[in-house]
Amino acid sequence: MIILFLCAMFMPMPRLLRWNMWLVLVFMIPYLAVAQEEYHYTGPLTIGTYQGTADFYYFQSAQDSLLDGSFRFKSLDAADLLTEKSDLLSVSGQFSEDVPVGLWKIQFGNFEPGGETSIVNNHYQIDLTGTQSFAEGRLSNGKPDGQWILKKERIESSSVAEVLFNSSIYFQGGIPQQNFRIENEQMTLVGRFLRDGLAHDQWELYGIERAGPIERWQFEEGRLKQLIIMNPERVSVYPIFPQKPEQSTIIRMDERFMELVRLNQMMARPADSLQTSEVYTMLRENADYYREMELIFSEISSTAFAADFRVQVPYFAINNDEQLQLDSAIALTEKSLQRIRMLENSQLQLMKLANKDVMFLASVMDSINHKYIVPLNKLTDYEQANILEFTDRRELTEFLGLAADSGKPLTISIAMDNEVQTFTGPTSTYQPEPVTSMTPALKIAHNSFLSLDSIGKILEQKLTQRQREQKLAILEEQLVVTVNELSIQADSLSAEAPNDIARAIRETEARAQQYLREYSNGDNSGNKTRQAQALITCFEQMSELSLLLSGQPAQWAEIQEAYTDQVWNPFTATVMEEEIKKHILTAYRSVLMPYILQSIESGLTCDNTQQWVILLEKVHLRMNEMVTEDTKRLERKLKRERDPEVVLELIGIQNSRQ
Amino acid sequence: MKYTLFVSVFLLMTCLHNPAHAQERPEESQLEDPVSLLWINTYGNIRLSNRLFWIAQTHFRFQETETTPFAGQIAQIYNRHAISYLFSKSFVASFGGVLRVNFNTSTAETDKNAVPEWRIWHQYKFAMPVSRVMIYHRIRIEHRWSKGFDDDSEYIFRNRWRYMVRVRVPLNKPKLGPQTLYVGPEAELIMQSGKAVVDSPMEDLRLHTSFGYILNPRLTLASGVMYSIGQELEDGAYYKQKWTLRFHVYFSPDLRQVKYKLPAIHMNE
Repeated sequence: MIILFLCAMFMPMPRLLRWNMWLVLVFMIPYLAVAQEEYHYTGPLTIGTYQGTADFYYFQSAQDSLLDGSFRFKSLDAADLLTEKSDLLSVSGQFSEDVPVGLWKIQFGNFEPGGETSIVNNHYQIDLTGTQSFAEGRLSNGKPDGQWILKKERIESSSVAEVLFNSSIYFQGGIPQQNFRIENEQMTLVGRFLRDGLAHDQWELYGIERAGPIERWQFEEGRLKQLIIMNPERVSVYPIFPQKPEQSTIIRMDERFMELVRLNQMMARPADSLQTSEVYTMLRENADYYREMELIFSEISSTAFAADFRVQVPYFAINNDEQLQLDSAIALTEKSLQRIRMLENSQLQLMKLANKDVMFLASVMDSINHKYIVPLNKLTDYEQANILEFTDRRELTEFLGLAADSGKPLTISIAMDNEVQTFTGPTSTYQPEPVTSMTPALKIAHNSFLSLDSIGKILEQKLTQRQREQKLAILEEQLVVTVNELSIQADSLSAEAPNDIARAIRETEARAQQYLREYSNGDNSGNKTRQAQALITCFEQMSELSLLLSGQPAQWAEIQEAYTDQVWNPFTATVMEEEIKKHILTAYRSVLMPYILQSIESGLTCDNTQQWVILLEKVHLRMNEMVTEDTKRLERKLKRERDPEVVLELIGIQNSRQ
Repeated sequence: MKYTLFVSVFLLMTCLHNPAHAQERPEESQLEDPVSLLWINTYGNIRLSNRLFWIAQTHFRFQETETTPFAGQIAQIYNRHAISYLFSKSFVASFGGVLRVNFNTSTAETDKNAVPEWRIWHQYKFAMPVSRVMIYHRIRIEHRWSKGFDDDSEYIFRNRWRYMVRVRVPLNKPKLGPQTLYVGPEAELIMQSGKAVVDSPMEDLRLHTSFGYILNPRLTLASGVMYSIGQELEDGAYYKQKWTLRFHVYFSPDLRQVKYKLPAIHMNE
C-alpha cells in the first residue's frame, strides 16, 4: 500500500494535491511503527502426543510468534469417553512475551468409562475410571515461584480412590525453599532447604506402617554428613562427608550424587555397603513427575521446569596431567579386558585341562584380572559416572589397591599340584611424568597389560597350534572318508557301466588310492593341511568325474534321441526313426568318446581331473546345440576326421587340457 | 451306338482272339499255358504338404518271346499319377489318372504297334498294425478306356474292381524301419464289369510275394515273384496264367520346406 502511495505521489498531479498527500503520509507514521498486533487463536493444537483444541493469544515479532496472555488447551473430547479409553491433557496458564507467568494448572491422565451411567438434572452422567496427575503453582519469569503441588490420583467411578503421589515444594525464583513434603502410597519424606536451595538439617522418611522415621539424611548447609537407615532390627549409620572439605562445590541431587554417596559410604565402611536408599527413591520419583511436567512445558515454551534440589560436595580439581594419565589407564584397562576375554574361549578351557602350562598361564591371567583389572575397571566406572572430581583420588586408588606400585615387574604366584609356580611379567621402564594421583594406577594398568599381553600371545600361539592340528586331523578324516566314498561309488558305478567306461571309472579310484598312499608316505615337513585340502578337492572332482562317466550311456541315449528324426513312410504307413547328422554322431561316438575315455584311463591326475569334467560337459552341451544348427559344412569336414583334437576344434570346443 | 459298340467288341475279340480258342465254347474251363513277364516298377509317393502326396508311378512291363523268357519284349509302359490325401496314419485315399501304352505282343499283324489306354482311378488304403506286422487292405477302382491296335479299333469302357490284401513282415528288425529286410506276401483280386465283359468278370487274381529292403524312410527296394490267373475277356472259359518277376523301387521324397518339417510333426500321433 505504501509503495502504491509513494508511486502516486511522484506521478504528475496538481501541486496542491501533492502537498496534501505528503501530509497524509506524515500522519500515518505512528501507525506504521506499531506493527505488534495481538492475535487470538482458537482451534486445533498438538502438544506432544496429545491432540486437542487450544485458545491463546500471541503477537508477531520478527519471524516469531510470541505467546502473550491467557493460554488454554484441552485434549479430550468428552464424546470419546463414552466408548473408549482416552488420554487427557488440560493446560491453563498465562504467558508474557512467550514466558510462562502467573498461575498454571496442568492436568493429565487416562480414563475409561466404567461403572454406572445416570441422568441427573437432565444431564447424562457417566462414571470414569483411571489415573490423573496434576500440577498447580505459580511461575515467575518461567520459573516455579511459590507453592507447587504435584499430585497423582487413582480415580474410580469418578471419585479419588487413592492418592498415589503428592509433592508439595515451595520455590522462590526456581529455587526450592523452606520445607517440602513428598508422599506416595507407602511413605512420606519431609525436609527443608536453605534460601539458596541447599538441602539442610534433617530429611526424614516415614512409612505408613511404622512409627518413627525409617531413614534419615543429615545435612549441614548442603553437605550430607551422614545417612541413617533404621531397620526394625538395627540402626545403620553411614558417614558420607562427615568433615567439612577444604574445597567444595554445589551439584544437583541426582544419580551422580547418589553414586558419589555410595562410593563414599563404601570407602568409609567397605564391609557394609549401602545398596538402596528409600529417600533417594522418593526424590527420584519426584524428579520424574517434575520431568513429565517439564516435557509438557517444553512443548509450548522454552522454560526449564525442574525441582532443582542441590547439595554441597567436596571438590578435588583434576588437572590436565592427571586426566591424561587417567585416560591412558582407562585405555590400557580396556585393552587388558580384551586379552582377558580370551579366557572365555571354549578351546582354551579344554586346553587348560590337558596342558599344565596353559592352566598356569590362564590362572595367572585370571589372577591379574581380579587383582588389578577389576579395580581398574571400577576406576573407569567412576570416571564414566563423572564423580572422580568429587573424590580424593589418592584415597580412592589406595582403597582400590591401585596406589602401591612396587616399580618391579609384575609377579603372580600360583599354587598348582602342591607346587608354587611364579609368573614374572615383562620388565618395563615406563615412568609417566609428572607424578600425579593417577600415576601408580597408570603404572599398574601398564604392567598388567604388558603381562596379560605377553600371556595372551603365548596362549594364542598355543591355540593356533592346537587349532591347526585339529583342522589337519579333521581334514585327514575327511580325506579318508572322501576316498572311501569314491571307492564305493566307483565300484558300484563300474559294475553297471560298459567296459570302456567302467575302466575309466575304476581309474579314478585307483588314482585316488595312489595319491592317498603318496600322501601318507610323504614328507611331513611340508604344509600337510594344504596338501590334504588339495587332495580332498581332487577326490571330490574325481568323484564328480566318475559320476559323469557313469552317466555317459544315458547321455548317449539322450543324444541319439535328439539326433533321431521321425519320418513318415507312406508305403508302410508307419513313422520311421531316422538318424540325422550321422557324421557328427560318428565323430562323437567313434572319435571323441574313445579318446576321452582312453586319456582318462592312461593319464588321469589331480591336475587334469577338473578339465576332463569340463570337457565332458562341454561336449555334451555342444552335441545338444548342434542338433538344431546348420551343420552341413561341419559334417563334410567331420566325414573323414579321426583326430580328436581336430574334431574338438571343428565342433568349437577349446580343449582346456592343452 | 449299340451297333458301334457291338462292332468294336467284335473287332477287339477278333484282334485279341487267340486262334486256339476261337472255336466253340468248351464244356470245362481251360487253363492256358502260363506266360512269363518281367515288371520293373517305380513307385513315387512325393510329400507335398502335411497331408497331401503326389503319387507318381512308372512301370515297365516286359513279356516273354519265344526266344527270351520274361524280358523278351516290351508289353506295357505304365504311367500312373494321383493325389493322395492322408486322413490318418491308417487311412489314405487317392484320386488320379493313368496313361498306359500297350504294345502289341501277339504274333498277329496289326495296324499299330502301340496304343494308349486311359484310366481314371481312385483308391482307398487301410493300414492295420498287428504286433510287429503291418497288414494293408487296398480297394482300387479304375475306369478304363482301352482299344485294339487296328486303325478302326474303338475304345471300349470297363470298370475294374480291385481288392488287395498285403502283409509286410519285418525280418531283421522288430518293426519296419531303416535297414529292415521284410517279406511281403500279397493277394489281389481284380474283377471287371462293362458291356464288353460278358462271361469274364474275374480279370485277374494275383498272388505275389516280394522281399524288400528299406534303405531309409525315403527309399525301399523290393523284388518278388507273382503268379496270376484270370479269365480271357472274350471267352470266360479260358484262363490265362502268368508268372511275373517283379522289381520295385519305392521312393518318397519330402518336398516340404525344412521349417515345416521341424520339429517332426505327424498325423494324429
